Formats: sequence, structure tokens, C-alpha cells
Amino acid sequence: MSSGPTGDERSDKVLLQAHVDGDTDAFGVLFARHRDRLWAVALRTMGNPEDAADGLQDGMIAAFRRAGSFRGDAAVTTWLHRVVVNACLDRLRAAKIRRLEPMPDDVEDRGTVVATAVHDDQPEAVAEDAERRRRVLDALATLPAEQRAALVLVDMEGYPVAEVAEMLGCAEGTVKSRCSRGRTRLAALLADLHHPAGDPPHGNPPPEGPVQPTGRPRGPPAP
Amino acid sequence: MTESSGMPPEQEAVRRLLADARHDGPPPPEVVARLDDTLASLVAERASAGVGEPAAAHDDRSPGRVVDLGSRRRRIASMGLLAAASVVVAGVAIGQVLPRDGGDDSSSSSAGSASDSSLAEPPEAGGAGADSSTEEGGDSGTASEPAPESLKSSPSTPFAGVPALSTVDADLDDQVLALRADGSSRREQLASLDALGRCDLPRAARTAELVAAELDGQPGLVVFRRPVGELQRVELYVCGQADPVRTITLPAP
Repeated sequence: MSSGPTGDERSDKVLLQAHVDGDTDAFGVLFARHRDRLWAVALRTMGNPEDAADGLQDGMIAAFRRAGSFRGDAAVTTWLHRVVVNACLDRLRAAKIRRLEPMPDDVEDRGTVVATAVHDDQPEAVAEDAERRRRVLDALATLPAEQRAALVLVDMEGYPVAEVAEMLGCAEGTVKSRCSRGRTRLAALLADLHHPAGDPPHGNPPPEGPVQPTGRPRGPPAP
Repeated sequence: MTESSGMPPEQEAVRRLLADARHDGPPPPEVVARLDDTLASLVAERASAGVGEPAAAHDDRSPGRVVDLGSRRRRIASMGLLAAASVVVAGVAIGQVLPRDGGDDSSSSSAGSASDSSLAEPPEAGGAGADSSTEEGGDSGTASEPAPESLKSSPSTPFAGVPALSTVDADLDDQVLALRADGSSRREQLASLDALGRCDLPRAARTAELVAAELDGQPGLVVFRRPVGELQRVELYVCGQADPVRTITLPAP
């Protein structure tokens, strides 16, 4: 892992070992390096910023205290994700959170703003993007926690299935089946949003996908 | 992405929707501040546990921290049990220590004797002081000798820290008066089983307040009787003797 915002050039493993050896700053550097992505995972797994902050904090505390248990078999970032995801899942299980109601407004967080910044000149498109994301997140929140975590890590964060299996502490086949079941349920909930044979308005369209005509003019991507 | 091939179109579409809903960006500032505070607490906590001590040594207790809290709770519970047991034992000891004075509270003392007789075997009040410690064959006349029960408990300095009084002191009344004013803290001392265990006295009225004291160089108790009218009788007992070595009458508090 390259250096983070702190400019510390030490690798993740070196930092973690330094923390184990008593370096008081090492863990802070390490965690800050991965904090944004861990936050993203916690936010999407928990479904709202408040619970995500709790889960991320739990995970950070656990990682700080259990650093000595890291055996080095996996990447440090995988281990960190595992600790944080487990902390989030523990919270979800404990609270039996099932958010069937609409997500709170603050779920439209900074990531949303960043993602839609290219449409600043098109308020209508921005509103559409926001609405679609809200629908997706609402639907995601209805899934069982394990399915949700798998989808967040595989489909949202783009981690390989094998790595996610390590993060979740289960077999790769389990990750795949969780993702498959989760997508199937989401497909039913979001039938009006996805266009299996067409071009989704956003995301990563397949290169061979035909362009879907829309009723509203679409400008060129912002430079 | 890792699963782009062989996926049903519906699932592929959902996967794209999920990818589009991915969160980018750092946590909100308040979350960052909270994490920083928590991390600072963890570092400080670790430093206070042992500066420079490697975290590997913490590893056993780190998963662990919860275990520590649990054991702390267990320790607190144990301390609570110990405190409760001390209260019970102190109650028993006070029952043994209280001088039996048949004159004052005959009704209460009869009830008390009925209940306490099973807990201890105090010497009969009617008997002479010399008989008070016949169970061990001790020499009650030499009150400086620790009472037999005390021999089982703690060693020396049984009444260390308690006020010293002299029955021949001219201002004994004033000293006892001051003792009464300071009664609460003295009663805490009385709770010390180390002191009580060494004072083998006949049973007394339960309405009295007791203060451990050293009387003429011997362990003893100052018994503040319940005020009657505007007067309060105070009896000074030497441990092991059934009769007070001195009786004082003070104005009621």
C-alpha cells in the first residue's frame, strides 16, 4: 500500500506491525489510509450515517486492539475490511435493523453529490440520479445483512469474490450465492429501473449495449 | 468487477445499479472527529496501561478488552459481596461486643439475647467479669491480653488509630463529648473487624452508639446510650470486662 495523506511511506503491514510493537502513531496512519473506503462499506452496509459511524468506530476499536491477532495471511486492507464489516454485521444483528422505510435524507451524502456533480448544469438529471440512488439504497436496505454486505463488497466496492470471502469469513461459493440471491431480490424491487436489454443511464454500461433513446436531451459529459 | 460474464441480464443490471450507488468520498467531518477522538483515547489508554509496551503483549487482552471489562465487573461484584459479608459479620460482632446492661433495655435485650445466642456465646452478664472468658480459660482480669476470639483473627495493633482516653483524665468528659461529635467517622472505625474481633464484651442495648477507643492503654469501647430527656449516659468499657470502667453523663446532643 502506498503512503496515505500523512505521507508515511511505510506499507500497511509495516504500520500494523509497528502498532503491535508499540508505535503510538502507526495505527492512526494505517486507519486514515483506508478510512474512506471503510466508511463507504460501513455506510452502505448499515444504511445510514449514524449507524455507519457506530459500526466503523466499533471496527476501528476492534482492529486497534486485535492487531496482534493479524497473522499476515491476507492483506491488511482485507483484514481491516473484515473487522469493520463484522462490526457492522454485529450491530445489525443486535439491533435487528431492517429498514423497510425510506432512507433518511442524509443518506444522500457527499458521495452522491460527487457522483452527480457532472450534472450540475442539468438539475433534472441530478434529481433523477438522486432518486435512482435512493431507490437502490432503499431496496438494498431490505436485504438480509449478509446478502447486503456481500453485494456492497462485490458489486459496489468491486472487490474480488475470493477477497470478499476472506472478509466475510465464508466460502467463495457462499459469497456468490449471497450476491446472486440479493441481486434477484433487488431485480424484482427495481424492475422499473434496470434495463436488462438496454443501456442503464449510469454506472458501467457494457460496451456493446445499445443506446437507449430518452425523451430529454442529454448533453455531453462535462469535461 | 469480477462477475461480469454469465450473469443473467437482470442481475447484471442490478450490479450496475449498485455500482452506480457506490459511495465516494470521506466520512463527514463529525465522524472523522469522532474517530480521531476514539483513537486518541485508545492510544492514551494503551499508554497508561504500559508505556512502550508492545501491543503484542496486549493481544491477549485486546480481544480482550471486553474480557477485561467483564472481569472488572466480576471484581466489583465480588467487592460488593465482600462488603455485604462484612456488614453481616460486623453485625454479628457488634452483637457480641455490646455490653449487656440489664438495667436499661430489658425488653430489647431479651429479644436480642434470644436472637444472638445462636450466633455467639457471650459471657453471661450476670456472671462476674472474671467469668466472661472462661470458655477459653483466658485471664479476663488482665484486660490487656487480647480476647480469645481475637487471637484467631488478626495480630497486633488491634486498635491502632482509635482515640486514646484516660479514665483519670480531668477533661475526660470533654474528650468524650468531642468523640461523640466525631462519632460518624469513629463508627467507621468501629466497623473494622480487626478492632471488634479483639473486644469481647457482654451484650449491650442495641440503641447505643459505639465508638472504638483505647482506654487507659487497653482496647475498649465508648458506648453512647440513647439520650433520655436532656441527658445521655456514656459508658466506657474495656474489652473483656462486663462492667464499664467509667460512666459519664453528658448533655443530650
